[in-house]
Amino acid sequence: MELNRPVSVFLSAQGQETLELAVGVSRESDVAWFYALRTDESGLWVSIRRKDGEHSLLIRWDCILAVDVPIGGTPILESAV
Amino acid sequence: MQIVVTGARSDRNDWEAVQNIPRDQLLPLTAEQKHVAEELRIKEEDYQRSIMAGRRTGEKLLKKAEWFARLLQRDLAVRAPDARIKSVVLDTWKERFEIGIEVNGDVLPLHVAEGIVDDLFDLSATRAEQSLGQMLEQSLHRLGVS
Repeated sequence: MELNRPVSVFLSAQGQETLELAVGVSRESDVAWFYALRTDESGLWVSIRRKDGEHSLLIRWDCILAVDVPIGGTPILESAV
Repeated sequence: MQIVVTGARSDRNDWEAVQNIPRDQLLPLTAEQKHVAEELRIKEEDYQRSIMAGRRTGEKLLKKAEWFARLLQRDLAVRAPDARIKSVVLDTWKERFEIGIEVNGDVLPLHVAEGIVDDLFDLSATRAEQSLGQMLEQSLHRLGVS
């Protein structure tokens, strides 16, 4: 499933540890904010920025407790033709 | 005719671009957005950037919706002169256009997958109009308009 939008990811303890390992940043929070590319049976693919450019990172489902996806409903832009 | 884009989708390019905007140029959050950022424990600055990315992408999507609405309106005028398009809403979560066609005081709903419209963009203008025409004719027939 294509997402192409920012999401909040609620991480399990294992998820926090894994992300610390993968991204190299100590996580004080169990919630992480990512630009999500898509989901598949393995997990959630997110875009992260490394020093040499953009990378795609897979966060496995067993690292994730919940994902909050803003889907809207409220008009973000409107015009009349 | 009302044209609307809903949802929070943002292109990766727009997402990348807003990461470089100086902090003092970010748009302030509304009270509701601040509340959500706090609730989700997102840094306000990050949330501001995501909203700006969404707006940038939304502007592109609005152009697409306007283009599609014009094409649809032109075709509809030929096929069903008594009908007019009341609204075209692009729901970025459902990835579909939700169209309201007004005929004799009733508003008939018509849904078109966003992918079909994207295909129209990729084809030549003549081919696109032919495809749209066929789709519209079938839909109008199903709705009992023509």
